[in-house]
Amino acid sequence: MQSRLKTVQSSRRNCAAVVLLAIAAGSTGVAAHRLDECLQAARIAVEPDRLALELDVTPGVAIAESFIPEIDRDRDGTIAAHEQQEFIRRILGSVDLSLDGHRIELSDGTATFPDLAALRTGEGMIRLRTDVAVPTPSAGVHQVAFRNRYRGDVSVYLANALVPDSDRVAITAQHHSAEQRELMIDYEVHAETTTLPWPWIAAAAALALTLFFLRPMPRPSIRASTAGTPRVSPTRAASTIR
Amino acid sequence: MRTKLTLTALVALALCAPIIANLRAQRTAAPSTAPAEATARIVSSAQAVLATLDADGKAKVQFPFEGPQKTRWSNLPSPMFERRGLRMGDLTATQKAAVMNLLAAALSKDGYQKVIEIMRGDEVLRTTGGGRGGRGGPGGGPAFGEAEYYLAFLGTPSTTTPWMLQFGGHHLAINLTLAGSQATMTPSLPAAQPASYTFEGRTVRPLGRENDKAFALVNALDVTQRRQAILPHTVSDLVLGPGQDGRTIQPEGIRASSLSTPQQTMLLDIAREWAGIMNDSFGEPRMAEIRSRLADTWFAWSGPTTNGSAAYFRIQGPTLVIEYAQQGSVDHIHTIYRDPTNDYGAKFARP
Repeated sequence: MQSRLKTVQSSRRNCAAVVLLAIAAGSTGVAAHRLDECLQAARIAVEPDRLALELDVTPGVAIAESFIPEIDRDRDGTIAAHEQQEFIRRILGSVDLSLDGHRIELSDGTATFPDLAALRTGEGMIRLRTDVAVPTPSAGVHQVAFRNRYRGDVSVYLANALVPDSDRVAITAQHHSAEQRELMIDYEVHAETTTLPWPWIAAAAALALTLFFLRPMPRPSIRASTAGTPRVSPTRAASTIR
Repeated sequence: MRTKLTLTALVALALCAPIIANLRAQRTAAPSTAPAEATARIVSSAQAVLATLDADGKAKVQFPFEGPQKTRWSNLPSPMFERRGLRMGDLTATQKAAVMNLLAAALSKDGYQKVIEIMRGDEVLRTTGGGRGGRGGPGGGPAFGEAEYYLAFLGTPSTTTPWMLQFGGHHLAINLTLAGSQATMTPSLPAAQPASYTFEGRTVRPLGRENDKAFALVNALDVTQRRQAILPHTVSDLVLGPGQDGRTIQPEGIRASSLSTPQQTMLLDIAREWAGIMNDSFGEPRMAEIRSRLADTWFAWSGPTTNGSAAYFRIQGPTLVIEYAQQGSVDHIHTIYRDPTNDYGAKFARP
């Protein structure tokens, strides 16, 4: 299982491309105006063949100036593409994700960045997303474990599982650490089933039954079936009746 | 032959009955006239606002129904968050009165009062030195006060085609989508800071009822129920606040089916504080919808259970998400109100 995971991860690393978007201040991704804390809100999607992590990082206005150098490494007032990539790698390197005890390496992701002016006013949110293909677990009980180790000195955390899109996955429990830096998600995977359209099958059966009972019945035969019974032609029969 | 035919017909009917029943259940009930009349009044009030505006004002207030303006809302004050539309501080007295008449038509009596109290609270914040008065420049510090609330129409106010009324500012985002006799106020964000202030000699708590009803419910739970409802971890902010459209988190806490009937009534009473903000003609059907899905609705709590403490609670059902999060202080509260199946009128608003 572990070697299969590594194979999938390696393949994914080879195939994935990092798409980086820069969004100016005034985007819709603004949230609460914290002051001396960084709010990190994680949402984890669990599907049969993939896991997805979304992480929103919103530094408060009072700590923004100490936070910005982590992104704008060359201090030129802009967040260049390579700086964005480096920051994404740093964040993902601070996140631990595992499936049934097997660590999943996170190295590729997409992110939206506000401009530095928005970060300075505490309204800027960095939204990071990473999707990981995983081998479809066998039917039964499984667990995803998440831990966020990024900037524990100034951060408050949220971590939640999203309702799965697939009806094969049912989340049965979430176990949060007290400060929500860690989240374990217990879930069940159900075997694939074919959904039959029972109402239409019932209607088709009713129609077939109706047609069967209403089918035209064959006419009874005039010819006698027992031997010795004289056959009488209509002409001869008429001539005998006077 | 006749017996065979009768038997066949009976068997066919028995097999088809579930299908027929299902189709009848799916057919929507004939719409009541009250919501349509409410829409007509709201449209008339919106047109009255437009009649007070010159061409420049009309251009400012009007947006396409589909477009970035739909999700342009926030709890943040201007100009930290750049709002668009008609700014209350730029209007004449006649224009302001028309806007307030529109809100009075669109909202219930309690909902209108809640909006007024939230705006007044922001005025208190301004006058007590919480922020600079007047307008801040781009990227400048926050600008608080009643002048900093904005009105926008998305689509043309109409009694038949979908359109949206947006009204908001610091700690307030009302997103009311209407289409004929249907309306939804999700997502919306009523918030408050200060959570308590004095106005004309009386204490005003814009979100006081929500707070007190929720504390009453959590304290009405028995030991076993509390063990389910009270989350062992700290929830320090809204999970599905601004920018979180289209997400549904896994429910937590205690299922309403595990509550007693009086406790369920208390839960519905809390939900009414949000569902009942819009005009009663829309609020009552909305409450009926919430009530019908009560068995699958969850109540979760985080934090102390003594009223007056900073706590968090969530009510989540198939068509409902309410979160109430005190922002590290009992004097600063953010809430969010969503319907994951119908935010922005997704179920009925097809332009």
